[in-house]
Amino acid sequence: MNAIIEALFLLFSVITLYMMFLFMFIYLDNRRRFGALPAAALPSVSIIVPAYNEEKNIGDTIRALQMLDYPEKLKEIIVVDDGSTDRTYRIAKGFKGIRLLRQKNNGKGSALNLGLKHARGEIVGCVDADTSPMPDALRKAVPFFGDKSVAGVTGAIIVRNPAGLAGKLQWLEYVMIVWSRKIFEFIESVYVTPGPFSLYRKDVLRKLGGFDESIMTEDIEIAWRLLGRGYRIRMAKDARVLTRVPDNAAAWWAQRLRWNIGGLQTVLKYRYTMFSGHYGTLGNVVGPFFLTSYVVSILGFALFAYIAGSWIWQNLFFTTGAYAIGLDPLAHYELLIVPDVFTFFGLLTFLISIVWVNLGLRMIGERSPPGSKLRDLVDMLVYLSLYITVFPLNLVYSMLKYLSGKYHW
Amino acid sequence: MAGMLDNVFIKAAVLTTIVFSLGVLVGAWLDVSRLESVKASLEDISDSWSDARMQTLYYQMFVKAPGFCDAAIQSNLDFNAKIYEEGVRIERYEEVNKFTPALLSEKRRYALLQLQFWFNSVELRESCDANYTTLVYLYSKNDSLSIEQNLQSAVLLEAKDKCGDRLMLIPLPADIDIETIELVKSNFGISRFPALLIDESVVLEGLQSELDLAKAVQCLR
Repeated sequence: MNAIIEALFLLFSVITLYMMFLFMFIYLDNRRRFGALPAAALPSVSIIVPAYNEEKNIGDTIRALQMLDYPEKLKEIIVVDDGSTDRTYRIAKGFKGIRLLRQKNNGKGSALNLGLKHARGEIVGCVDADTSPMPDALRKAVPFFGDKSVAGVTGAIIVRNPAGLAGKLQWLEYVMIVWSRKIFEFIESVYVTPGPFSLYRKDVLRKLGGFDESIMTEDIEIAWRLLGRGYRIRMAKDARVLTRVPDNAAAWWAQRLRWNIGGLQTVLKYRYTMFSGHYGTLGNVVGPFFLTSYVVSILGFALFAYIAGSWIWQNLFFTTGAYAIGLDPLAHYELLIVPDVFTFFGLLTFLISIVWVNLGLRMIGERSPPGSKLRDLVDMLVYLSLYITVFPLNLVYSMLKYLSGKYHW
Repeated sequence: MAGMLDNVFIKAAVLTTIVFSLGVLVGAWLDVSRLESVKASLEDISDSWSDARMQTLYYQMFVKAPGFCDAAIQSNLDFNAKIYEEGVRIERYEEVNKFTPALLSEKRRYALLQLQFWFNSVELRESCDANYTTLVYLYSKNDSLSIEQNLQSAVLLEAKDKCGDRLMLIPLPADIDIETIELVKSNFGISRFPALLIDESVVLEGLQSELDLAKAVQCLR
């Protein structure tokens, strides 16, 4: 058993090191064009806001969109009320200068498709109803469409409400996502155009049939479809939008469940592209990356659970056994680490992760969440250990949910 | 584009291979260093053992004065402390050393020294009429017994603390293919571990508390 665990640990180390070095080389090869913003004429943009029971946020979102620094005659705001049962529709109706559509509750993908059908702009923007783009977001994203092969552009989604430990950890996670997505752009592998803020070339989107309403994460699916058809997706890291994140564990768990199930649906939908050169980076990079990340997450968690579980099991039985035979267990605990090849790889991986997170924060221009009293390093340590440990549990649960067929938006 | 992709993917693969090999080399170097340190220590202990054994022989062959008996017992006790620590170290290293099966031969060497120490202790006790108990602790490398054996080690350490020089504690790995140990197991009918052999007469199998031990070990009463 130990030999198997040791072999798996070495395999895990090799995969993790490879991914880290790959990301570092991509960054080093492209660091000079990291912040580059192309110059291009401004096209007309229709921004679609699908909204379902968003009475608390819809007003702020519409206001933020109206304040976008973009010529008014080139900007159209379309709010699609997806059959809300609260005051969302009424609040949106109170705003002038927007187009308001309404449908029976049919899901986000369907609401986006309705907006797409009515959009007049050359470019279609999708903005979640709980998200506020910064005033210059559009101007910093749209120029990427100057390249005719670019069909999708996404921005930097930053957490608006980083309160409490969970909020701070998600803030750090979102910054890391921005960082890694920019890295992926350099190998033409941006694998998601996230719901909070993404722009598409309208004619391409219509030609491809719009959003897939059967997939829980229409934003992952559309990105895969674009890549598979040879289009490019760009990451406008300076186009910032503020979004709300779940502020409690249950909501976070449900959100991640949806992400993971949607990811699985997409992987299975495009399984025929896996390792195939015909689909460009979708088959060569994105698909294999998804599979590898699943393996690494689950393998890493399984190893961690086995090692930590064995340690807890041993100590629990030692403690209860010691009390049972009249020994003081505290007098016999030994906290001693004898360094070996596994300590070396564990430490190396951890140190590279710290450097990577730190570099990411610097490159994205974020230091710490607003109002944070935690030092960056503490945040990072918690992020790397706690967050990454909980995520695989959600992934496995999502897989089980998906297999059982009992899931819904 | 394809060239750039190949380039970063290959560069990452090369660096991973280099770092992984480096890691394995560091691991092997750590293992070898530990092995060398155990070897050097066992050499030293072996010399101490020869000295202690010579003192016993010298006393038996040439001198009958009681003072020399005390000195021989003391040398034996000093040796006991040294070899016990070395045993703990070998066990610890054995768990982490991945690339050096040679540690097993050092463990066998250690077990042989322990056996010689045990026999010398029995011989000294008889010829010098010494008042100590010999307690041979036979343990197995079977992982499923590790908690029970850790508990037994803890009980024995406390017993040794209480008894001091009146208890000779001799831990022996039971399953490393040493014929003498096999003979001891067979003669005393030991088949379950952990097992304790007290004063070459009482056999206790399975986990024993200090209260259980006190029935057979005089200094614990």
